[in-house]
Amino acid sequence: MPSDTEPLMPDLQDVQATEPKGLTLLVVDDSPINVRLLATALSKEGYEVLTAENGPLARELALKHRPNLILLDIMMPGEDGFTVIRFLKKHTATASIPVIFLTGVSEIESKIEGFDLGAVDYVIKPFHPMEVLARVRLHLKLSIATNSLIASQAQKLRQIRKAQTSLLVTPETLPEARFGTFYESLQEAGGDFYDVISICKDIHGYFVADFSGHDISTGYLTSAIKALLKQNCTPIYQPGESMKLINDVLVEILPEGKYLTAAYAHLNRKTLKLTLVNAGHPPAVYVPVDGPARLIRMDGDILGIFRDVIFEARTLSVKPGDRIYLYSDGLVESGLDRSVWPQAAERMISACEAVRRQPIQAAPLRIRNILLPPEVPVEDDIVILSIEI
Amino acid sequence: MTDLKVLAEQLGLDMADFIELTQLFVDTTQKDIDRMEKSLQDNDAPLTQEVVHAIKGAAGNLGFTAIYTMTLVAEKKAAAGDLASLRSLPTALKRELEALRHAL
Repeated sequence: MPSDTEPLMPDLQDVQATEPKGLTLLVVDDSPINVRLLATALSKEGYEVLTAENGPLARELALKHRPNLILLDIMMPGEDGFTVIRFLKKHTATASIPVIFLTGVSEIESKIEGFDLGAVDYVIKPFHPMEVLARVRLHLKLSIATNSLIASQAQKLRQIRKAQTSLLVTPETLPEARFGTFYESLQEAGGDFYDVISICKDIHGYFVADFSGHDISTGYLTSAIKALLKQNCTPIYQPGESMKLINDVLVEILPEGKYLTAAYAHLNRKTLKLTLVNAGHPPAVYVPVDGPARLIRMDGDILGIFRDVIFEARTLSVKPGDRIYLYSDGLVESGLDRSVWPQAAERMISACEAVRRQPIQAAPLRIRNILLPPEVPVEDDIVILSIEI
Repeated sequence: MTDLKVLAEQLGLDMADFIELTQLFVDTTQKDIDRMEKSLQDNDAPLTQEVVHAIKGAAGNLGFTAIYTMTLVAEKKAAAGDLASLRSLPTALKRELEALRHAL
């Protein structure tokens, strides 16, 4: 839960805006006179002005100093303004810097190309320094407003992630469920979700899901899923029925095109029966205490799209010490081999074998590190839920 | 006679700054004229056009209208490959530069 000192949704004015001071401009023109004219006029207005008389120097200065705005001549000997702007837009450090082109009146056609390449405006030569100043001010204002908006949105997404994470149950808060987790969200609003529900004494439900997309609605939907699990995973319903009920509500509430895949494990420690339900999710891994690990391959429709769905449910007789692993496809799809889960899930088996003697709470992190070493780029959210009978 | 004070005011610049810019323009353009004489001798239309373009841009921005107008026409002629009509251009430009030097 959010702390008292950090409100969940602060007012907009609490979000820090970019301070409009210490603004740096880069002027690029092969004419030393034009460069000097602009530098003189703009520096008198309080801007710090960097200058370059050719494309390569312009690129170097832009990367090094990240100016707030660039005035860029199109026609320059050697590397022209188009080449420079293409470079700037390709690099993260310089891509959002507004670029105003300086162009001759005869270069109408090149204006269109320049806008296509990401220029925000043009100044026609010969120009009056005061006109340039007016355009510089206008585009700096727009740029600062945009950056402020982005910062505010990012702040809100971070708060959503915090709220999302606060919904995730931890092994310490429910020790009798005997589980471990690893959860890693790439974006501010994660697309993966898990939950552990105490249905009654000795009966627990374990749920792992993966939302399509990582947009802001995912953040709100995770709380909806959590509430649905609480409402529908009860002793009254069989595990398959619970998923069917949740699906029917999701069909009503999910935005168009949004869906989720999920795996649900219903464990009765009294009867030692484990029921798995699959909704288009990677197969669970079952590690019997006295036998080799294996995948539990099952069919099942995805959640949230169709009203008439079929989820395969399978019940296993288990023994104390047996383990079950539920996980999201980010764990097995990421990586250098670009493999998809039906094949790559096999790698899960050996990873689960490798951590057989690890404590249940430590196992998920070890599996993550086995399957995704630090040098392998992680490309999706990852959740691993380990359960010990 | 070019009145630098008026031009400086029109551009919103201090006189000292404008004099410095004019001095830079005179020096740079003198070198450009030398390059142009060579390019005309060599019948190098693209280079002539490039040099004329550079002079035109700076002259236009500083408000030196006589030089700007001359080079505006000359750039079009050079683009069309008509270098014959540009033979007198260096001399005409030198005359204008001399006037600027006097005004400084």
